[in-house]
Amino acid sequence: MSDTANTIVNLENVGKKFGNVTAVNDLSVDIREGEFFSLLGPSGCGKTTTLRMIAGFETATSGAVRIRDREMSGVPPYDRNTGMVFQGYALFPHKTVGENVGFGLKMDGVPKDEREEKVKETLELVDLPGLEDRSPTQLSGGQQQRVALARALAIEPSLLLLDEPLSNLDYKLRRELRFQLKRIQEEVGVTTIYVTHNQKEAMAMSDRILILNDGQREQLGTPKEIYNKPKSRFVADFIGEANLFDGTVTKCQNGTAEVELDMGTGRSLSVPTTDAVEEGRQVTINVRPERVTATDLEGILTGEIVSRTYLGKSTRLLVDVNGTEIEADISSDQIVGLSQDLSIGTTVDLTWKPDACVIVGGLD
Amino acid sequence: MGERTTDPPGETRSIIRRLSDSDWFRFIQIAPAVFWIGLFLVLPFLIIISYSFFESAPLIDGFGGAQLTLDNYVEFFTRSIYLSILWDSFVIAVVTTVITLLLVYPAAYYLAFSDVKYKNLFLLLFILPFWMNIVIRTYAWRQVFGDGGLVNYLLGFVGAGPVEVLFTRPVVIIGLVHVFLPFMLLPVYSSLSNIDRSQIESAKNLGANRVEAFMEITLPQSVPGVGAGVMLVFVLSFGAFVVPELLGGAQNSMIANRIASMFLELQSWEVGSAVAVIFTALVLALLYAFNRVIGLEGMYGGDNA
Repeated sequence: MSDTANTIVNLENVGKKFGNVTAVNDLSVDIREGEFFSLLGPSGCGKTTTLRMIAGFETATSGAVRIRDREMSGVPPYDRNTGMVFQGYALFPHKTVGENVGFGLKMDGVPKDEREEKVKETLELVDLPGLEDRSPTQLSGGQQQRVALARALAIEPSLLLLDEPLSNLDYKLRRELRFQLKRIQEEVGVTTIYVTHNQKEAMAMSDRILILNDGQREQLGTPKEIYNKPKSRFVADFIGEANLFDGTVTKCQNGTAEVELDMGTGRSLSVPTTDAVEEGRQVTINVRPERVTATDLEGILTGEIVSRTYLGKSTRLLVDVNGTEIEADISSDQIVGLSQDLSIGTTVDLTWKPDACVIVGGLD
Repeated sequence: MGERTTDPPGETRSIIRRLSDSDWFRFIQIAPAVFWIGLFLVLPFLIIISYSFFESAPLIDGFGGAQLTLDNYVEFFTRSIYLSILWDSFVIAVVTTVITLLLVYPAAYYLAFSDVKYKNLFLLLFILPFWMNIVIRTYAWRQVFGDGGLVNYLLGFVGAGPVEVLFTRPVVIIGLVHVFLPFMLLPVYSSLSNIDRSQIESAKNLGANRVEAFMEITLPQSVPGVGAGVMLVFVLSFGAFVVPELLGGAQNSMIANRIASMFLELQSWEVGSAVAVIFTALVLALLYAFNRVIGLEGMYGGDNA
């Protein structure tokens, strides 16, 4: 049974195998009423399978899927009151936009007048008023996506399930729809489960994110927690960009751990920590590239610039420090204040603020 | 044709490219087929049409003394034999089409929507009849339905028979179904397999059970394929010749057999031509009506939208 009173979806030790292939392995999670919850991971991590088990298109091989405390095994998709938006939208090409959006209501036996009213309302919600009589094939990709969303929302589902709904759109449209999707979700207040491999989308929209890898739970938390306190190398690497250092704790006092890096010649980093760490422990440290700065003074690390890419608001440097490549995003403002020009082949001193350094996985 | 925006500027385009974009090159592409159809279909048919308006054909003495007449058409509509054989042929064609559709739809559905391992093998088996000579296959049916054939042999075991099965209408229909089945299977299968499965899942997600999802999503989108298959099988069996010739005998011959015998046996080319013209006009009228109601895009693989 679920832990909290406002849990709407509860997965308990859910597993799914296709033949010999394990798609989802022993996954447990509670999704709360009203939240925007993302399942995030690389392709093949089991996120879509998990969503399909919630929707009822796949049956868990082990464990239990519950919606509102009701065990879902044997409950067909059409009895689950979920609204799903498919990756390719799956609009019905032989029906008009209005018939598409009203399809769920028709299946519910809602009378025609009431249905038309609701269709009109829902199309307005997704900013497509008056498109009832068009054919979905006449619409642009972004419009089709919103029709698919309207169709899922028209039935007032208790759960909105989104399977990579933005992945077929171009970058600019994706950003635009990302905000629109979030606005609509907040307006309707429906619990939303969002499947994506795009960490930026997940970060921008979610209340909480579950990161999956190889069918297993890597980390569950708010976007901020996941970004700032990744629990594993995988998460640190997958969410944003990371500079990961392996090292050994040599000293720990006054909230600072001294970590001797494996890479270099006895170089040490100071890492702030609230926990006590025993000496001799192996840890991985992460410094995000955007926290790394170049300095004219003596830096924490010194290396040779291998490549340099202009990104507009910043310049991405790849710096070779004793054979380990470190990424640094130097903001355009900062470059102006530097005495050197950061050209390829020159030596650069890199530094960062103490709190930019995070021990991956904490020190539990 | 408008210039595509991706084309490089005119002067850098190669001669071959310009050549292949030009209008006369397009004409060269289509001309052989047009020529072939014109010479070997339109021309003979024009001759047939002209024959149907003369008292006696072929016109051995030339057009000089020949009299134009409508008698051949009058004969068609006044002697009941023509109308009754036309009606019988129509009924046989309709029944054949319905049976073929009923046989094919579930099979095509199964092949389109299941991940059956030997899908291509099954499709191949269905289409195999295409590649075997129709006369040979139809003679084989005579071995099944003939007096000493398989059916009477089996009936002998239960003490029944022998019965006269060959040269009956059901046997003609069985033969036609067998010969024309691939023409139904391919378009129906093609339209069904073009349906995105996630549409069906989406329908279920929105509250449709299996039957409702089929009626609302699958069936309507298979209509173009069904339409194409129905029209192909209907037209082919309406004008069938070999199957009724070999399995129908004299009592159950169809319109094409009648036309052939008027040309070959009765030497009445002018009436035969009139019947042929009427039959062709009827088929074209039916095609036109069908196209207006259902559309024939499925026949040449138009999209399902």
